[in-house]
Amino acid sequence: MKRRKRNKILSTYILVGSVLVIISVFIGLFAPVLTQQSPTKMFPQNRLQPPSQEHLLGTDEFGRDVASRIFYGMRNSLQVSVLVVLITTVIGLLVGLIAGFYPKTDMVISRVLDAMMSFPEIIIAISLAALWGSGMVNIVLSMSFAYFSRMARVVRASTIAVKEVEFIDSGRAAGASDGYILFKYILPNILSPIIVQATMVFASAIIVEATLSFLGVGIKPPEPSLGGLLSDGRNFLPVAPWLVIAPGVAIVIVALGFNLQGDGLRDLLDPRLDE
Amino acid sequence: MLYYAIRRILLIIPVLCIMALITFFITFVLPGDPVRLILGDFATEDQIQELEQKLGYNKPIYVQFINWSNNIVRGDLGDSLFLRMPVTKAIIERAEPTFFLALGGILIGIIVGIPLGIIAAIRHRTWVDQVSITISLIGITIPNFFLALLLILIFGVWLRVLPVAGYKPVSEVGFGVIRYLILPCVSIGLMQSGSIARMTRSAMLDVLQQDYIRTARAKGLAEKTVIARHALKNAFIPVATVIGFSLAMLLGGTWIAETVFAIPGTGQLAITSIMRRDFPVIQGSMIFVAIVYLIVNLVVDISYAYLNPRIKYS
Amino acid sequence: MNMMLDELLTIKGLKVYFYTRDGVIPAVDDVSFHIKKGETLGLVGESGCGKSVTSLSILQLLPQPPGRIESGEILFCGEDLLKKNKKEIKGIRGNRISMIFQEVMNSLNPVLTIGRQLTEVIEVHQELNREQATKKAVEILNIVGIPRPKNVMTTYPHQLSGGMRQRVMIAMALLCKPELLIADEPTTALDVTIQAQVIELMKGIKEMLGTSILFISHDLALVSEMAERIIVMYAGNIIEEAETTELFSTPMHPYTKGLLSSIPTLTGERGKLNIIKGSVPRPTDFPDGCRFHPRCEMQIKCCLDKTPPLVKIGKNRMVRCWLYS
Repeated sequence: MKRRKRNKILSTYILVGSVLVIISVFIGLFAPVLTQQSPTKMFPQNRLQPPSQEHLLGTDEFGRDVASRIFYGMRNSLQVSVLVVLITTVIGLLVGLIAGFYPKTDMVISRVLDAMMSFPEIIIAISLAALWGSGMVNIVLSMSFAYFSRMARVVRASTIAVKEVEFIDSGRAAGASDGYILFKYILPNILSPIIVQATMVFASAIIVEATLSFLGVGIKPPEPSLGGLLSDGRNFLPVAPWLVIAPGVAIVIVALGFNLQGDGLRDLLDPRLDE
Repeated sequence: MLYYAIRRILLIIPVLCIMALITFFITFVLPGDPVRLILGDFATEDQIQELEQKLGYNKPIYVQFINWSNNIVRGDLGDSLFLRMPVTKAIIERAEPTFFLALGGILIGIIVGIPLGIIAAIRHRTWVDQVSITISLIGITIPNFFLALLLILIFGVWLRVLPVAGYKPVSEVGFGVIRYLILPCVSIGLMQSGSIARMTRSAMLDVLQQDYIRTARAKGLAEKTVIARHALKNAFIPVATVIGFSLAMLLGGTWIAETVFAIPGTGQLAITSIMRRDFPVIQGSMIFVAIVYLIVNLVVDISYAYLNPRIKYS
Repeated sequence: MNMMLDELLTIKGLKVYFYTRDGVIPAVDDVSFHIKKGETLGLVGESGCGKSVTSLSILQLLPQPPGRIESGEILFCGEDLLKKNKKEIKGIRGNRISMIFQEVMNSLNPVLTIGRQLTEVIEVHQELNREQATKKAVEILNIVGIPRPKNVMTTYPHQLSGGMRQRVMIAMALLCKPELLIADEPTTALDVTIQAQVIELMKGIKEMLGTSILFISHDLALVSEMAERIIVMYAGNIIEEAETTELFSTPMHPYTKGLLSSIPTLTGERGKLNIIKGSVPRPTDFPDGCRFHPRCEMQIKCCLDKTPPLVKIGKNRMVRCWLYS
């Protein structure tokens, strides 16, 4: 009975996580439809209004509607994060599969990955983003560079684990080429940790993008971004706290959604034996 | 054990080399000509050439790299383009607040995280466990700058009990430095405690399943003794490694906390230099971070070997 | 009270069920037996027959969330252990009743010294200080045949061999001179030569201290070396109980006969190794009637749908089979 309870709890994680994710994606995709207000039009006479009927989350120092800025900001965050996850997954897969499959090359690759992990990822991302200049392409590239080693490690570890299993040898004995083995045998079997890691990277990406925008090296203003909203709102903290609270909560919601999903998936796919 | 320690220390060298390479080339594969930045838009060709010569920027890349590496090994990180002082000096001057921030952060992480993880593991599958997992998760998810701003809002604006920015060195205010450190340390530490709690819980759950726990109970020991003496000591081993790893997040966190709370530490220096394209300082900061991180990990690894009798006596 | 005065442990009607995702598993389904003072009782059966669960129930070491002791009594010197509270049970564990387990690498705590793991037992049950406890520990290490006991006190489990570790486990169990020692597959993980040594050690202990032993194993031949009486379990039930010599000379239950005939012998004719056809049924789908009947070569009609009761055949002789009732 307790076992069933545990499964219920796990799927609660995934359920809640998925709900949050769906809400976020929905907002991101349909932002232009959801809010009639423009995120960039300024109405200086309306500045710093608290939440009201007309402006659900108030207005900022330029009279812009905060709610619509948040919606568009989420959209931008999601766009960046999707790209980052795609790139990191592809590169991580390539590097990880090769490292896991060819031990000789692995020695070099592992050293490089280790070295990269010696830098806090966020520092790499900040430095690169600042040095390469802001703008979506640069941010995506710098974040991907910082985070691909994480995915590569997971892929590498899983590849090594799967490689030991016998059916690989039988495939070899049957004459399959390396590439074939890699893609038809190994890849399908390492999908679950990859998916879990991908959701985690997604969650991290949301937060890192927000951090970059907060520091001013992310999405360029006046394009709205969640981090940028926080940075702008900071100056008006005493008088207009909603400028800071609302975007912050938005970030937490999106990131939490992916984290919950990732956690739930991970626990589901790798059950702890408690018999 | 000694052999293990020496081997670990030696392993740092190749890693350090690769990092130096990466750091150097990151700043080189970049748009943005530092010389023009310094001299401004109206510099003449001659002035540009002269400065390039002086800074050594006109030599081939590999020569520059060799010179740079040589200097680093000797502790000379070059001179800041904007601060008119050697990079090394700039970093060392600002090391104190960063050090305290990191220390405070990890302490909070440990003090909050470890008990939370232990309790969650002991009360596995009850509501206590669920609540702790959720708290840890939220702790990990909140971006630390948001948390920092929330703390400023609550304690600085609404309650007005703590300063929201700035810093005074220990030499000036002694213990009073804590007032400036509380909020930033909490903002960093809460995130740490989330990940430390998770790891502790997971390690404890693993340990509690082991045979020797059953043996300990079969001997008639009180449950408290079983947990404290038998379980914890074993769980600490993986937790120690996680503390070392979370140091990475911690260092990143200090950069941000210093920026938000306007604390003149190495992080703030780094970020300002990045904005200004002060390349020597950028490189210097990255090397600094890398070295600190490697050393701390080394210490953690060696303590791990010390804590684990299987490695200590083999 | 029809309890015999020399009965040390009496189990009556023990039922232990496991509640899992796949259903309710009757791991121990109405088991009753007793152990006399100074007697060694063997408990034999294949994996999953419930012998370990029975033994864990005595000291309440079962993981109680999935497991649950549904009913029954476990009388130790007249007192029902199942009715005791946690504190009382802890006072008995390691003290009046000790248990040793199959020596897998992890039965001893890897981060504590052997000495510490020994002295803590003494400290918790007896009023001795650390010095006196250490002396006692060294003494007991000597008794179980560990060379240089003073040195061993400061070593860690991974520095000892498997056989040594099992000796330490036995030493730990004997520190407080228990009245009953429960040994759950103590030699299964050891090499054959070491196995013999450990059995000799246990025999010596039995003689020296007069401890009753509940010796659990799947190896009938091994058990016969130590036990005066043997109980055979199958699928959660006791199916035969007899004195060792009688069990070997005149086995009654077909399963027992199967077990005996599948013991490889050095002498005798060479031929095929006898096996019992089929395999142990999964607890979630026990067959109707006698649980052994699908594998039984001598099944009769009523075996298919009626479960045979355990009946007493002679003095100290019980069997659960329609062939005899």
